[in-house]
Amino acid sequence: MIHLEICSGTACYVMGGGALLLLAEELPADLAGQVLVTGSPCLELCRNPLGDRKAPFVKINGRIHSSATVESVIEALREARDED
Amino acid sequence: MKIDATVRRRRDLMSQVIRCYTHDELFPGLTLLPLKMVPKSSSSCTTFSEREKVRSRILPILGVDPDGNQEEPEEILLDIRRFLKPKRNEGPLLTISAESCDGCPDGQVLVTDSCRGCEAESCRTVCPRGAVSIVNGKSFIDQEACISCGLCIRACRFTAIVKLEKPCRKVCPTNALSQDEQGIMHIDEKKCIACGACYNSCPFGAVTPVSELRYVIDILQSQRKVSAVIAPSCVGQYPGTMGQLITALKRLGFACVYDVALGADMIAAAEAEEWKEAEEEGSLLLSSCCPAYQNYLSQRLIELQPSVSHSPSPMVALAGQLKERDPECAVVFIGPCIAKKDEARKTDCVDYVLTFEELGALLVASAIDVQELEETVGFDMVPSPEARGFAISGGVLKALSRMQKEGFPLEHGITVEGFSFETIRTLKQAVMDETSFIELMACEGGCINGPGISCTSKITKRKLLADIAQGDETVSVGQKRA
Repeated sequence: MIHLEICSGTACYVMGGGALLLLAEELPADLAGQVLVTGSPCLELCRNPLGDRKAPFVKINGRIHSSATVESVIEALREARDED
Repeated sequence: MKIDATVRRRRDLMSQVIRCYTHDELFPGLTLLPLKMVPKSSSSCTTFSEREKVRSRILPILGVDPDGNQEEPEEILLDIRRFLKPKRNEGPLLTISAESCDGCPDGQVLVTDSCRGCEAESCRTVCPRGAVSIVNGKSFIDQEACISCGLCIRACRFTAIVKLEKPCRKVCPTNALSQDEQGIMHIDEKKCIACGACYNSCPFGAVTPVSELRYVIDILQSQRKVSAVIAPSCVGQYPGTMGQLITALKRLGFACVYDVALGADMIAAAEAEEWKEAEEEGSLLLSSCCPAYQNYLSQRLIELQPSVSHSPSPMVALAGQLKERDPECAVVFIGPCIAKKDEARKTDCVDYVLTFEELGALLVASAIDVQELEETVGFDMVPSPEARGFAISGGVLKALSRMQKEGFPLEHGITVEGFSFETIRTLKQAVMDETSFIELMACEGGCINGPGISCTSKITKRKLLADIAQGDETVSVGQKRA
């Protein structure tokens, strides 16, 4: 099971993180049933900027992804699956 | 509306500008922002123009119309205090940054690389002006002769011919956008109905509403009592619960928070009565709540204006009552709509209007994390479930239908969304046929899909419908309906 944590801090939410919460239902067939999607309290990444990495932030199996979009998260989820 | 890189960039800029303002760091804060947001690249020319774009977009966030001043954005930022007017801007509601506008091509029909140079040559044969010829085995369009009729586009079986269109002009229902000699777009204030369609259409982020955020921040910091009236489509627009959002608004300095649906409750009965009368007289009633549609009628369908309901919009109904109770209090409407900014200017009961996007930027700039807050238990007054449904297309019709007696021909009421050719035809026909009520919505899907939303309308629609269904259940258990 891949763990996808979506930051639900206000900054991440309004930068598109809110829409990411729908990901659980929108997963393509090859990922369906393999991803556990959870909202997370603010990961505090927006307050301690990591170079030019920007909100919205998500964590996939603990690894941070920035500027997350539905497409980029699905891509990263596939990578995480293939790594296992 | 998709939250793409353009939207994220503008929201990031909005919250950073607001942070500079609330922390009293306008200078040198604002002059440093473009440098921070656009790091030095190998091409100094690109760096310069990208920074200039940022400068021009900072101004409308602070309520300064860049077009209304002779000075360059950089000059204005160096002496910004001088340009901040103490009173709300009476100028345009939306402005286009000339620095950001790409001046993209419009109306040209071009053959792309997908052309196979087929034997049929249907593009050439179908052209009424003989503008298409075959050059080096591929189709070629003579731009001088082409009249952009689009026949060749439809004739091509490889979809190899395209028509270039400016995204902003394409979505504008009143043709309010025109280009200057450089192709840079300008909005004609007289024609603009403030629907906000162009705002999210521009992939260069050149269109920006002239914000009232600064004025709202100022009154929140003043001694004046400020009430927030928030549109029911706020559900799901921010993290956390409704109670937490109310706490967040109080943290920002709002003394009271009201659901605009209360205003819908105030007007629904009168509007339902007007519908009944229209049905009996064989005339037509149009809903009055969508300000962009009201503006459209006043420009394009003047003959339909007398049919508009006399009921004020829910925003005005509620704000009017709040002002009556306490004339000293300031009222700020918060919603998904840009046209409400225009409606507010025309009344004296709403002081300022913020979009959900602007409130989001203010929350981020104020480092308020909504879902970490304790809950305020609900609104000060609770509206009916169907009044909250006004935010979703079809909701007004539903609410008014519930108020009619049994046997009323409810099928004579319809909902009309957007400004497509078919939509306008339906409207014009409705005067003649038996239609007696039309709910008008400029935004497809209703207010939940407005140009100023902060999160996808999908979440809002789902949560709001669930809330309404739950409210309905409670009411039916209690066996009483107001």
